[in-house]
Parts: sequence; C-alpha cells; structure tokens
Amino acid sequence: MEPIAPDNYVAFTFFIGYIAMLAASVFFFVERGSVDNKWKMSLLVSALITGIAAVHYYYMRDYWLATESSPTFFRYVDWILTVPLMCVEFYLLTKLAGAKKSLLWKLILASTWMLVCGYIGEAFSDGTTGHSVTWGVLSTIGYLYIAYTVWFGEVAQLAEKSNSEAIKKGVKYLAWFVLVGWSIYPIGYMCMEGGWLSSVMAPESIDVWYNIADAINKIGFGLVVYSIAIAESNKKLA
Amino acid sequence: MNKFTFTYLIFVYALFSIFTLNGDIGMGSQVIGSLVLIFIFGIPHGAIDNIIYLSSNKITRLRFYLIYLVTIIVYCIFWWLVPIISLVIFLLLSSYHFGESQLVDYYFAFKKRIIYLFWGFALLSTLIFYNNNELLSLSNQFIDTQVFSQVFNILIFKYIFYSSNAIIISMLIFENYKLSISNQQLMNEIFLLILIHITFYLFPIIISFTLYFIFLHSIKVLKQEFDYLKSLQSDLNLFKFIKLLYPHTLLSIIFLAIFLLLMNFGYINISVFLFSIIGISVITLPHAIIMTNFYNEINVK
Repeated sequence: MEPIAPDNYVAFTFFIGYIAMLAASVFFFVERGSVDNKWKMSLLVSALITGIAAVHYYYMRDYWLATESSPTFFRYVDWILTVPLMCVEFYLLTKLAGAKKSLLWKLILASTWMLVCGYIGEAFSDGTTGHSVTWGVLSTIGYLYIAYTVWFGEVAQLAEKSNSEAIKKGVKYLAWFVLVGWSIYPIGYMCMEGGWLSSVMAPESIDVWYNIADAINKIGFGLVVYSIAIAESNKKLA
Repeated sequence: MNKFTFTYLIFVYALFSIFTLNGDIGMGSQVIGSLVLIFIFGIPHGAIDNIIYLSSNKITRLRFYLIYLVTIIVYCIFWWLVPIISLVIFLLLSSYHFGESQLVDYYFAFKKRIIYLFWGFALLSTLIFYNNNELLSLSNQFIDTQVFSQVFNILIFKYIFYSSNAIIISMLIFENYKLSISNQQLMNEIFLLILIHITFYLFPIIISFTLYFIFLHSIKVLKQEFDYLKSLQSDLNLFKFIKLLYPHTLLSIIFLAIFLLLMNFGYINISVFLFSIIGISVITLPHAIIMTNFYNEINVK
C-alpha cells in the first residue's frame, strides 16, 4: 500500500468521513435506548443514514486510493439511499402533527429527481457547460421543491401546528440544513469539467466538497433529530 | 428565510445559470430586463405614497401634492447647484430607506435609526465595492457624470465596505445578545447579507441592483402597503390594490417617456446616466420620508 501524501485532502476527508459516519451511527443506535418509544424510529433512521454512508465511504476511500478518481457511482448509490431517508425524517417529525403519507412520497420523489438529474449531469458529462448547467438546473428544481416544502410548505405548516416547541425549532434547524448544508453540493458539482468553478478549482476538489457536505448534513441532521427526541422524551418524563 | 428571500434566491440562481451558459448578458438586455421589472414593481411601490400618507395624516390632498412636488423641485435645484453633495445625500438617504424597510419588523435595544443606516451602508457599499470598475467606467463615459468618480473612489468605498459590514453584523449579534432578535432572525439576516454579497459579486451592477431593488425591497414594501391598507379597508383585494397603484405608475412612466424624448431631441442636455440618478434620487427623497412616517404608523398600530 502506497503512503498517503500529507496534502492529499481528498483521501484525508474520505478517512475522516468514514470514521465520523461510523461513530455517528453507533451513537444513534446506542442512544436509541434513551428516548421515548415514539422517537425510536427517528433515531433508527438517523443511524441508518450514517450507517449506509459509512459503508459507502469505506468503499469510496479504497476506490479513491486505488484509482485517484472520483467514485461518482458509489457516491450516488449512497445518496439515492440516504437522501430519501432524510426526507423520511421530516415525515416522522411532522407525523405527530398529522403529516400524511403523501407528503413522504412527494419528498422522496423530489429527492430522487434531484439525484437522478445530478447523476446524469455528472456521470455522463461530455465536458461542456451546456450539459453541466442543464442537468444542474433540472436537479435544482427537485431541491427547490424540498426547500420550499420544509421552509413554507406542508412540513413548515405542520411543525407550526404542532404543540411542541422542540419540533418547531428542530424543523427550522433541519430547514437550515437543507438550505445551507445542501447548497455545498452544487459547489462540488460546479467543479467538474465544464462546470462554472472548473477554471478556479481542480476537478478532484469535487470530492472534498462532497465529503464536507456529507459530514455536515448527515451527522448534523441526525444530531438535530436526536436533540428533539431527547428534549421531547425528557418533557414526557417530567 | 422568508418568501421574498426564497424568490430572490430562485431568480439569482436562474440568472446565474443563464450567465454560465451564455458567458455574459448584453448591456441592452440588462437594461431592458431591469426596466421592465422596475416598471412593474419598482415604480408602483412608491406610487401610492399619497394614499399611504393621507390615510394617517390630517392634511389636504392639494397640500400633500404641493409639498411632495416642492421637495422634488428643491432637490433638483440642489442637484443643479451642488451635484456631489446631492449624490452623497442620495446615497445616505437610500441607505437609510433600504435599511428601514429591511429591519422595520424588529424592536432593537440600540438606536434603530443608526442600525437602519448601517444596514443600508453595508448594502450600497457592497454594491459599489464589487462593481467599482463598472461604475467608474459608466461615470467616466459621460462628461456630466465624470465628477462622480470622486465619490465612487475605491479607497473610500473599500473602507466603508469593510467597516459597515463588520458594524452591521456586530450590531445584529448585539441585538441577539440583548434578546431583541431571535437566533432564527439573526440567522435569516446574516444569510440574506451573504446572499446579497454573492449576488453583487457575481452579477454586473445593473442586474445586481435590480435584483435587490425588486425582490428584496419593492415587492416587500408593496406587501407591507397592501397589508396596511387591508387593515383599513377589509374588502381590499389584489385587483383593487393594482387599481390604486396604476394611476401614478402610469403618470411616472409618461413623464419618463417625455423626458427621454426631450433628451433625445436635445432639449434637455444631460446624459441618461445623470438623468437616471437625479430622477431616482428626487423621487426617493419624499418617498423615504413618507415611508418613515408609514413605518412609525404601523409600529404604533
């Protein structure tokens, strides 16, 4: 095995990402026992999100070390499993305030659309700006739908309707994750050949951005859900 | 984030995609696109100053128009006598007006008028700082606006840019510490400032200003005005509101067209750039005064 150069930030973030996801997963699994029954599913989903990501990071780390190229395929397999699960979190949080299954499916559909368009944009890139921008814009439509739903749409309205301050606050925090945390991904997307940032950032920096975004969003998302679950469970105990 | 910011975000993203695809957008398209938006939303947001003011102040219609017009004429004379000072007054006035419309919903612990002013300083200095070369070349393009390059000096604006942004963020954090604004509101305001920075950095000055002016200022003010009038007149709907807006909007556009024709035929010998600045500033002065009065009124309510 070849030694990893100290300035190999891509490999570094893959390692960190893998360990952090694994640790978060263990944490959410263990802490599942500390919360009230109705929150156990939410914590399980959080653990699944980071768990699935940890497995993919394990493969992506090796793939990167062996080929020094971006593991686009593994990346999107990971996202197609974990991003809809994040939407499930929104559903589970607002279910207590009356969320219907249709909300869940709409969010899953939007996130799948977002990822499929992103995958076509990235994996089948011909290196032209036209291809990158067109699929980027199509993908963003899905993203904007999710952002609208959690900020002003059904999710926001249901959270507002709930009697719990923790849920209101938690949904707001998760909405910030969607707005700011998820917007790190387009930075990575725009680093690819033909992308707007390709002239100022090397194509390999795409993975650094994606790894940072994944760590923030998946673990952060889970931690917000965990804090709501703990707050609500403690309230019930009191 | 509110719906105005969300709409703004979508438009910024759409324009950014068009820019990335085309490489650039021609000056002609920029001006036409901006003018269309200004005619639809920008001018109407000040077109019911009379209704807003007369609804809460005991003053005759004639007197109102007289004062409004005299204010405009006095400012025009100022422009004729001391153009640089008039430009500085315009920048100060706009700063306050933009800051006020942005932050009016908060009850600050510190002097609110100073906070409004610094928010506006941050906004305008960011616009001028990121687009300084473009602004200078625009000023130097016409003989009668070359003198403005003294005001748009990069060294001055660099200082104002850094200090005003640092001060407004510190002020907002201080207000959060004093519990005048919540964590969410603080995050909203900082997010908006970051978004404004990104917009002003990415786009040419005309597009940057239009995006802010329309989506974050004019539409927001129109909504505030609608809500206020609705509280006075419960049967007010969008159609009736538009009917209130259009007489003065139409009048403004006709006046604008007449002035442009007179300029075109050489009866008024000033450049389009100077005409635009003077035109906007003389309308801004009475509008800003009326809006301050309006915000005081709704805050009392």
